[in-house]
Amino acid sequence: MNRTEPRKVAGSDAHPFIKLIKEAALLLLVSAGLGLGFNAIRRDSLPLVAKSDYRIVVPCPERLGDASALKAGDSRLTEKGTLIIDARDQEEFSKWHLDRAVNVPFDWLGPPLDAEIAEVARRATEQRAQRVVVYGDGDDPDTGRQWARLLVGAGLRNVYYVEGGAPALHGPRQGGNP
Amino acid sequence: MNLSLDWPGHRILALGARLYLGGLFVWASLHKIASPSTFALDVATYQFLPLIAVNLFALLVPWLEALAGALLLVGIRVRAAALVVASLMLAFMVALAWALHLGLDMSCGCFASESATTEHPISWLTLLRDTGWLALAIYVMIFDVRPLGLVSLIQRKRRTS
Repeated sequence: MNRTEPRKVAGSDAHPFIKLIKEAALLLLVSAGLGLGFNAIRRDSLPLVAKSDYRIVVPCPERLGDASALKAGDSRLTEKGTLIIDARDQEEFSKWHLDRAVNVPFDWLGPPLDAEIAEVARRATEQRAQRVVVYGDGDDPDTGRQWARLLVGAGLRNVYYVEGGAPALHGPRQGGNP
Repeated sequence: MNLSLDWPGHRILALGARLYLGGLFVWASLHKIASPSTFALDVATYQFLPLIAVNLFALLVPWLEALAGALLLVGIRVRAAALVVASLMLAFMVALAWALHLGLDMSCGCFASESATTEHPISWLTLLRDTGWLALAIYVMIFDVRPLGLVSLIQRKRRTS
């Protein structure tokens, strides 16, 4: 019987994994060609090498929650189970503050660190507080409200802010220090 | 699951894996091809590659994703495509682990232009997700010896005619 040897195709006797690598490399080459070719013809083509450093913006977004508002005359402000936070700066705080208020200033340019939020949470636990009430400068936007929203965002419950902030409280001076 | 390469069920399982991975990679490549500068910024944000390599990476990788994804979808050179996908996944995972190690608060930039406003920040869960995709790619690479797809369809038609 006349036997014929099957014709060998060039490269067909290569190890299957080598063949796989070769095919993947070919894919890489085609992709490089497509990528560079497409970039060359597009209007807003990207330089192959960046000329200057990228302005990497890695924001650290604070998680904000929804804090409830409290009127300045609300009786909960004077209750024992309330931890009061004064979000104004130290100077304002030293001029006047609500009795039992703790000064934790809020700065728009350098919002509170996690450690400061943790400190508020620690105080609340220590005092067995049922709620946290924050008052700020009463401006628009209000530092007290922002602090309260950050605390809610960090997972604290029963956090309130005083509507109108310190100016709203300062009128009646509920047990405040001069 | 039968680990023998000859088990016919692998063709079906691998087809599912291929369609999923292929669709995913083609979809992921689209916004990167459309906006390479945004993707380059995403790449730079990882602080993993030297500046000299950022743009080249941003120009090449999306096309590699698109091509490998398309081959997986149609069933041509699937094992090579799966090898490319697995290699890409490995590279992404190393970069992701690096970013997590640095504590970078960012999105992965995998599927949309999310470089600055991070609604879906990277986390160890992202790494877990990528590990799943890597496992799928490796499965296809090893077990999809006779893939179902365009080539097998053409071959079958030739045999019947």
